[in-house]
Amino acid sequence: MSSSLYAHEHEQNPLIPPRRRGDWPDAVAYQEALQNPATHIGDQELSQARVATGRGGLPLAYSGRFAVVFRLEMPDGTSWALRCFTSPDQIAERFLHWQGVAGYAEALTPALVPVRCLEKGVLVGGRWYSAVAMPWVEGEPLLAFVERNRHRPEALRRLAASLDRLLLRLEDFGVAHGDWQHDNMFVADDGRSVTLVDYDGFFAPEWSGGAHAAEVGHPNYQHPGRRPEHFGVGLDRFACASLRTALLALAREPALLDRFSDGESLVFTRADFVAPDTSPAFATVRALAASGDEDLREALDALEAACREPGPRLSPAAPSIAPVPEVGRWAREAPHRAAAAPRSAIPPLGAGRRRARVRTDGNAPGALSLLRPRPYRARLALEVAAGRERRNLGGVRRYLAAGALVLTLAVWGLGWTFLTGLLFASFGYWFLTGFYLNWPRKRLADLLHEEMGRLHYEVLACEAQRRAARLRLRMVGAAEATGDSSAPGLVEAARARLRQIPVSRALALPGVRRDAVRALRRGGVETAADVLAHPEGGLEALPGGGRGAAAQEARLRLWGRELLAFHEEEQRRLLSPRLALKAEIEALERGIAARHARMRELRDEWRDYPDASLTAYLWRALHRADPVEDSAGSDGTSGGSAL
Amino acid sequence: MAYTAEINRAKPTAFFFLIDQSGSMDDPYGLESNKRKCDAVADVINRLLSTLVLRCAKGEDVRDYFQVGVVGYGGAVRQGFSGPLANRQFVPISEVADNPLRVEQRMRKEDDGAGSLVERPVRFPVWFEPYANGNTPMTAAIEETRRAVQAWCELYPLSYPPSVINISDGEPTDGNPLPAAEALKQVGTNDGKILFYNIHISGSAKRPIEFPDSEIGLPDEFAQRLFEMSSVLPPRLVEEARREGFGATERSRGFAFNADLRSLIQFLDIGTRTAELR
Repeated sequence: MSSSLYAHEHEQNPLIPPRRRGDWPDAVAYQEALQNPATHIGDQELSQARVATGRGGLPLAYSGRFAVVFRLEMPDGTSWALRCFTSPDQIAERFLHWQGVAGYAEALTPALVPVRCLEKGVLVGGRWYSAVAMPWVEGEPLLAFVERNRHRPEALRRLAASLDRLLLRLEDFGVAHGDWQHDNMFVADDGRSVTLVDYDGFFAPEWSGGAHAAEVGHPNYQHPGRRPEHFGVGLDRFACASLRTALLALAREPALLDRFSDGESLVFTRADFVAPDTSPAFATVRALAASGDEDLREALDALEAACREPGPRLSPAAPSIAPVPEVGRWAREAPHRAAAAPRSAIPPLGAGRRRARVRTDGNAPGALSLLRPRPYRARLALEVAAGRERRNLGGVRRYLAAGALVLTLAVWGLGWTFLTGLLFASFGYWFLTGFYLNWPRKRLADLLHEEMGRLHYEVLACEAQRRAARLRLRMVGAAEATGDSSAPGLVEAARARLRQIPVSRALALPGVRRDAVRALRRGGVETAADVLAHPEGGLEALPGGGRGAAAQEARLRLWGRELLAFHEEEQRRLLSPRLALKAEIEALERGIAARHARMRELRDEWRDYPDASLTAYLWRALHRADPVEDSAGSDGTSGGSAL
Repeated sequence: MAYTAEINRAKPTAFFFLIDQSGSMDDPYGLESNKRKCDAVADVINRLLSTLVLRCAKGEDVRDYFQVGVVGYGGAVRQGFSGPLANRQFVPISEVADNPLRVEQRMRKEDDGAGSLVERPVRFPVWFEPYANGNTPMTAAIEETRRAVQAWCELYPLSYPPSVINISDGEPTDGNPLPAAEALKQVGTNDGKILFYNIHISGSAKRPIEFPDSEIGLPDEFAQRLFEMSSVLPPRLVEEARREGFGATERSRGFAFNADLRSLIQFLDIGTRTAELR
């Protein structure tokens, strides 16, 4: 079949990705292309890689639902995963999604792996397709790890604890992975560390408010009531509960794996979650738990309770300290977010924050400023509610008491010597780094400052880019002083596109009949371009009699003209550097405005932020009148021992 | 609801290909092409097998979500696989992946992304060899298929039903295949009857007819008979066909007449899409 399979693509403009699914490369096409990485990978660095091969010297592929992954081995010994998209459905949105994930992936290593989005990824049939590259995750897929360690209960329990920590870490950032399952989780360090891959269903705070998940995860690990609308923090809780219960049960009874796992699950499957009361897996685990395993019983109770809920339980979007996405993203996203309504009765703080930002872009009604949420303060409230401040203060009290005692004894015994001075200094150092800098109020204040600083530098960078773009625009303007939108090349290219659109597509128009299309074909009208090329009234072959035929003809012509206009516009957009530059400048300006607005908000927030100075800290630590703080004493050990 | 069974290793699904290997497959495919029909069909089947293998691939591990059978008919009905897979009716996809007849080096001419054509060698696994000889015993082949598929369905009663795909370029020489096809279409699993697709490949440059929903408009009695033999598309596949730009309706059948190479590939791609894989 050779090149004839993709021969039709050569006629098209390589800048425009094909729209039809049949034209999109499938896994085999990517596998063929990657047999020559040097010429077929667009990234300079990655094109030096060797592609890992298997049977018959063919590149090894890992197929997923939307993508196929290949392993690239670099000359320096590192490995990369190259993820190629195998379906054109919403490809632009999906690529944007991965770009959005990139910031979080970087910040959340090693729970996630950094992502590199390649706009010019892989060359297939003369056209570049975007792809995503990630460092290859060493480690063992979860199921393989469990199978290998089934007779080591301590390893399974350790893995269960790691999953708990993983969930906390993601939720701390206000994100969710969305598809915890055996193929997406890699275990390393004997169960101490778990890394997630495949971020198609990833949730990040900036997508809250109306956005849907691109996929609903593996059914054997997800709540049976999960729908694409469930998209928020807490998405991974059910999968975590089911995996934890399964692991704790396996730690007690390794035979469960042979009995219940079919290679697509550990112990439980979707059918068990649908009917926990009649499921044999649940009955067996319940019997195990009854034999005195408290952890297992607790995990099982939580899982059963979750199964009985109508759907996965999500938190209202928590305010998060999100890394600011790259230039242009705010600008593109802000309008949708403004329109999106909050999803739950409790207005999600994150969504509210975005609404406020958009308002400040335009004319902010002053009265609303009172209601404007404060993400860092809200986050602080969450931390206080979670008891972190209490633990920190309780810890420091014990520490100060112990420190004062030791120092007094030392000074009493030794007098003021170099040794006591050193002791004093080290106590002071531990006090600062161990307690004060970890005080939630201080930590969040630092993060707030950090974000302000980062925004400042981003604004400077955007302004520099804008200056450069303006300069280029001036140069292009001089070069194509006469270059206007009616350039003949544009119209020609648009007509070439139309020649590839079969007239049968017109069947989707109301009033155009099937036999009409057949009649048109008989008359030699095969494509949309032919419809336009025909002289007025020349489509008289259309069935349906005089008026019916005329109406159909008018409709078809309108269709042809609209298509032509659409493609002309598209060509113009893609081919004219002027317009591209203008759009770039506009995007940059929107980015700058959005960042200014965000900075204003942060400054406002800083004004209301409670005092986080060292004096305030000491005062709070030593002031014991507050009843809330009195109760903290009992629990202070954990903070103290953390030192 | 039928045609919704999840496909996993315990409940695989099957693809069964019936390939016309009669003497007429020696003719060129299309007017402009210098390729023989049997060569083109063999290439397409080999590529399709690669696609099916990759859909199940997780690195070295190829998961047995599919089983594949190939039968050829030209002069007589014969097994399509040869070499290590010979004399097997249904082969798990992992064994297919492990046992190609050979991996050929083919020269592929393609655009280098900058507008010029370059040639480069590409590895191409081959499982199925072109062959063209004798008459067209389609009815016998369908009966043979029915026996094989029935046995398979008894083994996997809970699976997504097998898809049977018949590729031919002419009329059968051993009588009316319609009764045999009707009997074949009665076979099924708990998840629905088997899906029988028919593809008539053209020697002419006429426009193909894909997924028709009535026999009106089909050029001759033979085409109408093939239409009648084909299964009505399940709703999910109707949707897939529409997304590909075909004008399919809920009464459309899995039938293509006068298919050219491009529509043959597209048709096979749609025909081998199944419920979600995991």
